[in-house]
Amino acid sequence: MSQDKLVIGGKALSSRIFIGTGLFPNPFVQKEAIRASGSEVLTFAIRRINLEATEDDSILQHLEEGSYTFLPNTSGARTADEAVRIARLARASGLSDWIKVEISANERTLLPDPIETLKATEILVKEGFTVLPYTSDDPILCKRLEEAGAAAVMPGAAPIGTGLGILNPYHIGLIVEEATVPIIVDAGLGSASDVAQAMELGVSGVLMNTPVAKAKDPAMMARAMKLAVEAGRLSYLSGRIAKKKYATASSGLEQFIVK
Amino acid sequence: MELIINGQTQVLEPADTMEDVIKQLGLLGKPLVAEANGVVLTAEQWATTSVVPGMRIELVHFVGGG
Repeated sequence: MSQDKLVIGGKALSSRIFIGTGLFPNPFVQKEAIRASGSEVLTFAIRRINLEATEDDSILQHLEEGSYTFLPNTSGARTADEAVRIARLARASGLSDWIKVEISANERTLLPDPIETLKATEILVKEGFTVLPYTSDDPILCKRLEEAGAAAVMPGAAPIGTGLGILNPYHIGLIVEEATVPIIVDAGLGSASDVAQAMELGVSGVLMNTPVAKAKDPAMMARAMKLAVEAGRLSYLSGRIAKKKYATASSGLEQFIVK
Repeated sequence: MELIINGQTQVLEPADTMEDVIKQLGLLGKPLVAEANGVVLTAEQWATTSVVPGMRIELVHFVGGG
């Protein structure tokens, strides 16, 4: 497994968990959870600086210097144009040219707008970004995003923050079968079993925030997620048995004592 | 001088460049990105980007998010 790397945009990652940095109770707990998850990729949002309170409230000051890859998102964007603008701002930070395209127009579901997401992906790929679009779990759409040049495609398991788990495992499985870029399940996961299921479906990794940050013990849950990723990945690679309708005894009855 | 920073009118001391504005706001040295009238600037461009009254400036940074 030590050689089982996840390669995105030319970068080889040992960890298959991406962790979101929102909603943690405090920076200390966040740091502990990130460490426990083993994550090498962290997501962020881009927002205006509050000019009324300009103390050091940047998220970056709380993170240890390390080999993290930063994956800023375009959350809040409702159109491709807004997402492109946020992406350009993120890249001008000089911290990363990776961008998670996230475009939601429906406030109740926060489901991604597939048409705007595809448009933004096309534009940002042309501008040289490493683009990871968060998208619906539609196999055709995911393929179109790959063809547009996405470095990885990130279908949702369920709406953001719901913890409902993988609502359509059939689609996630199909998406993986068709893909030639990494598939990362992003959003909607709730617990370690959801993560293991995703990995058993063959996805390359998972992106989570709420289920770790809002767990009673975020660092412990982060470790559970790490182990679930490893378990699910090994289970996928080792090849599970086929399901059967009736029993097969583990020991034959040829030499059974009563005969 | 009046500038529209992050959507709100702000009255600052006279400033020639974006770097002056960021310094006046006490934000120099902090990890932030500036945009002037819709044009995104790298930190290296702050000192050479002229500021004129009424300019629309955005100052953004990374916050927690998933």
